[in-house]
Amino acid sequence: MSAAQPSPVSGHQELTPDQLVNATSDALTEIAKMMLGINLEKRGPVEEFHNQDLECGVCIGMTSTKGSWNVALFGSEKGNQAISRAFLGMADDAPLPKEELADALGEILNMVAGVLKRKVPAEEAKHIQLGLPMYLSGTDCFKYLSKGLRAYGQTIAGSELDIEVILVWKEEHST
Amino acid sequence: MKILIVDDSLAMRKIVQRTMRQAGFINHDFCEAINGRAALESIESSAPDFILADWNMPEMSGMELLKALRSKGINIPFGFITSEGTDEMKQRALDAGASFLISKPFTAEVMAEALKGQIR
Repeated sequence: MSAAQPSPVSGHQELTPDQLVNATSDALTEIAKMMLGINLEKRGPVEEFHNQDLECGVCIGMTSTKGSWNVALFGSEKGNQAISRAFLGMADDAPLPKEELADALGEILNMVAGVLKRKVPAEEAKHIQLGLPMYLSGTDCFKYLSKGLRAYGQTIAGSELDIEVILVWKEEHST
Repeated sequence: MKILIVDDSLAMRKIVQRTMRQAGFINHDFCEAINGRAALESIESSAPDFILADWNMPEMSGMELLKALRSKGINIPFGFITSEGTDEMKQRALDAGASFLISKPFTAEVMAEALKGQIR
C-alpha cells in the first residue's frame, strides 16, 4: 500500500482523502466510546486500500451538489458481530441473526456519516444527503472494491474485544 | 406515560428504550413504529403521550410525520433523535413544533436533559 495523496476530495475542496478518513475514524471512535463503551484506536496511517479479503461490512453513500463519495466499515465477521452485540447490549454468546447484525452495523455507520456531516462547514453540510446503509458480505465485498475507484482505508482496533474494523473511503468522481 | 418510538432500525428502537431507562425514565410503556406512515396509521390505537422519532426513514420521514400530525390538530409532544443533527435541522425541527432534536450518538445524560420536564 502507498500513502494517500493529499489531493482534494471531490466536492470537498478543503478536505483531503486523508483528512476525511481520519475524520471518519474519529467519528467511529467517538461513537464506540460513547454508546458501546469500547475503546478503539487507530492503528497506522490512512493508506490506499486494496485488500480483497474482506468478510463483511456496511457502506453508505453521501452526495452533495458537487459530487459523491462513499464511506464503509468492514471487518471480520467475528469483529462485526462483537461490535454489533456491544451496540445492542447483548451477551457475547447471544445469537445474532444476520438481519440484526446488518441493522446494527448500518445504524453505527449511519451515525458515523452523521458525525462526518457535522464536521464539514454548515453551508456545505446542508447540501449533503445520506443514503441508506447497505450490508455487504462475501463476494459483494469484493465487488464493492473492484469498481476501479480509489479507496483509502485505516485500521481501527479495540484490544478489549479483539475488534478490528477497516474504514474505507471510496472516491466517486462526478462526470 | 406511553412513548412511541419511530425508527426504521430495530437496533435503534431498542437502544432508545435502553438509554431512556438508563436516564431514569422507568415504568413507562413503549410502543414502536417502523416509519412515519406506520406511526400515523397507528396513532389513534397506540395513543402515545410522547413521540420520539428518527428524521430519515423510508416511506415517511419524521419531519413529514410531525407536519401530518400538526395538520390534523394532533399536538402530542414530539422529539427527534437523528444522525443528522446540524444546526439548520435543529432549527427546522423546532420551527415545525418539535420540542428538541437529539443528535446521534447520544448518552443517557443527553437524553435525560432533553426529556427533562417533557416526560414525568
